[in-house]
Amino acid sequence: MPRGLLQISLLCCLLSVGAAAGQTDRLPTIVSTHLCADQLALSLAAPEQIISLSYKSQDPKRSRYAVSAQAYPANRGSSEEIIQFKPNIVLASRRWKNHPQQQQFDMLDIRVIVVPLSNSWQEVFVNTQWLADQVGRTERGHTLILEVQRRLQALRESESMLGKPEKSLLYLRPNGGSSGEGTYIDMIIEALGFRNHASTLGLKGWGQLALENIVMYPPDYFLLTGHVRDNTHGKSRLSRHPLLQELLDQHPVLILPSDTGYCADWQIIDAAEYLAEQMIVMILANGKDQ
Amino acid sequence: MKGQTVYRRYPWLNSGLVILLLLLTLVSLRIGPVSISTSELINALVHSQDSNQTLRHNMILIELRLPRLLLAILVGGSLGISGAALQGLLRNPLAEPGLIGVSSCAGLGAVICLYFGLSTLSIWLLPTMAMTGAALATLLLCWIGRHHAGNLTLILSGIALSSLAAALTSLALNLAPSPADVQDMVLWLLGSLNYRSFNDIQLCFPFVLIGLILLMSCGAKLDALTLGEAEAQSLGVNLPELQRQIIVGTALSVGSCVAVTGTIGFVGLVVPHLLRRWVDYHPSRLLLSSALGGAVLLLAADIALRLLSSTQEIMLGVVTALIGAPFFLFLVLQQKWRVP
Repeated sequence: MPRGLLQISLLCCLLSVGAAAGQTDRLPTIVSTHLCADQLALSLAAPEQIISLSYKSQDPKRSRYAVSAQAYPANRGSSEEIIQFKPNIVLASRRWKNHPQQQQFDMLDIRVIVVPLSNSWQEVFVNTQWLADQVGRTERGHTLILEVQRRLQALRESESMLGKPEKSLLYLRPNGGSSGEGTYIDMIIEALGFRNHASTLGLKGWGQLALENIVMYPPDYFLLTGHVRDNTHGKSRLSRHPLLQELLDQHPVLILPSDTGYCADWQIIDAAEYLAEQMIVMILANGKDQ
Repeated sequence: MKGQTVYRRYPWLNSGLVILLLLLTLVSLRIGPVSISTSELINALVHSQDSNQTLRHNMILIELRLPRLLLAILVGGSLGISGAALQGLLRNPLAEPGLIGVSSCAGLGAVICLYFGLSTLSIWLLPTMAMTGAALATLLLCWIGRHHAGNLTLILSGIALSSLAAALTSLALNLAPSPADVQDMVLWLLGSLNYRSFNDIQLCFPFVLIGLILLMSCGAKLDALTLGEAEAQSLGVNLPELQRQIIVGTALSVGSCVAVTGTIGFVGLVVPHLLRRWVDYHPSRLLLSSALGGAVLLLAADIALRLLSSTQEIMLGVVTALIGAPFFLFLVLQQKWRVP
């Protein structure tokens, strides 16, 4: 390479790095106070934007991004911490929005953004793009949405292999909790090509199912999860009942582990793919007509 | 003449309670999220293998509703008879299993198990620790009784023990690692029969049976005790032995029930009060009637909560307190108005 061309190339590289650095400088800084917001911040924001994430994000039992999250200082969502970090944006849950120190944040020009929850794939795309716009990463949001759409399409195409549109699947937590239409679990079940059995049993949104109803109208498949909060002795009594154990022995069971920390946002596609893999393993082990 | 009337009334009372218990049994077996008619119920019990629907009805009846029903009868019966025996022994109308600290010590044992997460190691650890709590309370009370302590000392010791257990339970709640653990302990303390199985019945039944036999066999001595401690002793009643018999009987029956269902209050207090007049104030007659009455009351409370509960379950201890407390107040005021 001629020496002059090399010098021009180096200059261009330096200029582009400088421009990128300048862009990062202009991007709003972020403190996230909620596990789902943490995971969105890590997937949408530039690393330099993130000042702090919630302490839960560093707990491998709750967060899938525990290792990445450990690169940032943890917070417990207190006002003092927020004021000390002085971010441009605080990502929070709806409950946190009612923080009594809200006025102080307004005075310090700290904007609180409530992370939106999605109950349909369309809402996932809209909400992801909206949040990406808010944190100044429109292009990143667009890329992420295209990636999720591609993966969703691939999953739907693989339904022909999974081939269970006529089969029902019941999402069941240890406390009898389940989810009907209008929940992110319903989106996962739909993406996997199953009928949501909780909806068939008349459940809309989140709620609880009685063991009697499950015994009387059992699903074709079970989807179990071991949410940390549900595993206490009293709450998990339904899951220990011999009758449910008997049903679980008689029906194929998919498991959504408790340490996966899926939220009602684009990460649902990860959960759907994770379960599709389990389905494939199950089909290979037992035959398609299980 | 009046005594003869009452004497005739007593068998009728027990017969009435048995009939009421049978009626409530039928109602209890019919109530649930899945609607099962009486004909389907009979069909499911008699021809369980005829069809898929009948088989599922049979599973619901035998494995879900029947254990709940039997446990309600066992727990209610234990609480009722223990209350009657303790009120007879201590000759104090406020005496009940909770007063001598057995229930609260059993509760403390369970709370310790939940606090340290021991229930995750084995599901049998929680009932075992609850029964250990009840057994320790019993041993302490027996030790006090052996030293020829009077009934007043026994009541006061029970109150102290109960208060200590309540304080330690509060401490565990105060220092609980997470809100989920607090909720777990509180819900357990409120008592429930939901999702109990025959495994739970197997666990508590032998202890309940021994406890009931011990309590039922002390009727004649309790009758003698109504004359006074000195008179009873002159009639051959060994008071320390009677104390031990009732305390051990209460601890076995109530402690093992609490271990399975959580603490359920008011039944042991209200039922003997309600029935005493009907048995002509005979402690021996009150024992069986209170056992039947306790079973009726607890089963009725369980049916009521199942009818009232929608998505969120109402806890059994809450319902028994809601039924028992106003009713108890009514009884107390009624007796007060009768006295000139």
